[in-house]
Amino acid sequence: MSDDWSAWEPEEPPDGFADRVAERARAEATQRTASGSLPPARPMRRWRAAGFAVALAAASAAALLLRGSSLPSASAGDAEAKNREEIILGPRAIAVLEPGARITWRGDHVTQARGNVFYRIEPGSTFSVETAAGDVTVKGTCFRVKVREETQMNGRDMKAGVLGAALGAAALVGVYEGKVALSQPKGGSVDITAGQSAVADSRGVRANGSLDDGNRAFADGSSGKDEPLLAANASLADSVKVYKTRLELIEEEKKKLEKDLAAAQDKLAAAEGGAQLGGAKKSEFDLGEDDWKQLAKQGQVKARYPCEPKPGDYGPKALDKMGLRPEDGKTITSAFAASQKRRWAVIRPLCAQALGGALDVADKIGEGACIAVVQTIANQKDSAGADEGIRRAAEIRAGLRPMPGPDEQINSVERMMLALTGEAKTIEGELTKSLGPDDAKRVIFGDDEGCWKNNGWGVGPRASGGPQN
Amino acid sequence: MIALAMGRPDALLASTRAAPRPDEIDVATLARCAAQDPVAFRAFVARYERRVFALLSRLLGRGPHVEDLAQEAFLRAFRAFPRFDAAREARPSTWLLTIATRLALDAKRSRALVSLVPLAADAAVPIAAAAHVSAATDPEAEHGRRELGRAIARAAATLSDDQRAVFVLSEFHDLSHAEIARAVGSTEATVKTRLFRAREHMRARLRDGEERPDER
Repeated sequence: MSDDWSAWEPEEPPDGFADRVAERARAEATQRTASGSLPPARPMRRWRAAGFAVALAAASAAALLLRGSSLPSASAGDAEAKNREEIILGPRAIAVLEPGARITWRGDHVTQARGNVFYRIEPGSTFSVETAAGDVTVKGTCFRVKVREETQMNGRDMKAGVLGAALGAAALVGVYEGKVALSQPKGGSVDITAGQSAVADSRGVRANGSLDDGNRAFADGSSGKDEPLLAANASLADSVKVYKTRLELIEEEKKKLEKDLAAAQDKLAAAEGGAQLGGAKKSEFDLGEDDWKQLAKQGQVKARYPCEPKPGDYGPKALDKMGLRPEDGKTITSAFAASQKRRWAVIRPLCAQALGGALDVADKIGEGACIAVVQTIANQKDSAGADEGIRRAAEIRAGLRPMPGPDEQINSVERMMLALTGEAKTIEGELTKSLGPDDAKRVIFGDDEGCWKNNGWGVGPRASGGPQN
Repeated sequence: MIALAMGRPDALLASTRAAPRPDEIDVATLARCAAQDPVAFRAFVARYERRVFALLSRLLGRGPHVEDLAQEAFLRAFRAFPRFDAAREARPSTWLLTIATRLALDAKRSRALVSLVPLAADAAVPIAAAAHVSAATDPEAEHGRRELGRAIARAAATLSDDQRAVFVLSEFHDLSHAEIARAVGSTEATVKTRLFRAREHMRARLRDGEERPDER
């Protein structure tokens, strides 16, 4: 007797069940977004009118969240608003840009060049808005930043305290919920709570009364533009600061040259003594042409590439531990950001193509999931072709095949593998220019610091054929 | 394609060598579900609703609670989709059935559901008769098959909750021992033991004709 339990009939789903569940899911997502985006109910206060306007803006931003596919959303980018524009900045922030506002963002860091922008930040790690006049840091709240006068100053200048570029710039920060800190590198810091505002300009950072007071003062320019004598004095004071900062930079450059000289002397001594440079164990991802030939024989590829850099990565402490200078942090994170941009430029369209053209979905699921999607769809369509893409990528890296051109027809897996497998060496080349070859290698292949993705794919050797070594 | 995961592989970096299963939803829809797309999620529900209802009604008996719990299981899945890890989950259905199983077991443990399998009014048909009625097309044989179904349900109702979960997941949903162990929060060895005992118990109840109306 064989067991046959199939006579036990189960209950069938009623008509319309899927519709009802999907509707509940939609409603739940709406509620989730709305509760995260709208300020919680509070007693009426004197900034009620302004709060209402913000609630509208937040609701508008929340509604955008729900539109899903039409939403401009990315972990990095830049935007200049011609009309009111809502943008999702990564996974936890929404910005509502008023006409004329301009921002660039990467992860949890925004640079606001000009204009009036409302921000809603979900609680989490520190989120920062950098302006020419001062920086705003928060951990989750609603606030608005107004920047008057665009400058060419970049973040590095700001951190270094090059205030010449900030002359004439002023930022007003109004807080609708929670607490934020407004600071300047050398101008102090002030905490602002809900209903309050503060201003940062060439005279430093200071509280500026209620939201309404702040808006009025900022609108008529009284907070950022003083009478001619005051302005002239401020200008002179800033000039002094500029000279001081330049001297500091020259001093830093001197230190860097001294360090480079010492490193070069050490290497020379080691080479003359017959010592081998870089005696540390070689990473399995530090692949030369011979390594790639071995992998190609086995039908394998390996790739190491950095995660998206976050503010605070490669901070002074970590850099010091690695024997690097504080200013190297920016070089490293910039190289990582460029790496991410290069990879995403290749993987994003492949992912969207696999998803039937849905670029917005590719943006939402991100690089990691997209890699799996491209793989999976390629396998489903043509498993042998996908395997061949892996083998060919290994052979190209081994120098056994020429690198295909950007417009050359190759399959999606091969294209993706080429994008991923080349990154470690590309970044190494970039960092070598600034850090020297040993430090560059240590940053990329060492395990000291940072977040890296180490991946490998293997499909085995071909049954026969393939390029000759 | 074999994914050799080294270091910190991406969450969705799964081995995808196996041919796509026609009874599972496609990767593109899964990706949209992970992005909290309600339209894609509706397709997901439509694909798996019968399996979830089948599981819950066999674990808990028929009734309005099945729809309530099925809805809750799908909503939990919707909330968890952004964390859905294709590298860990062999099949989306297994992941969903795990959610539904835990929900059902929790509901039983919290005594939220008082009644179990509704008892049939008619006599049981021994499992030995199954061979004669399973391919039936005439009304009489069809009646016999329904009777058999009721008998199996009654026999299953005498299993412990954990045994029933193991039995149903294995016999009706094709989950491996490892997958069942994860679903019920147990070990593979325990699952094998429970499954063996559950089958023996079911066979004995049906073979010996214990599932009779006067013995319920």
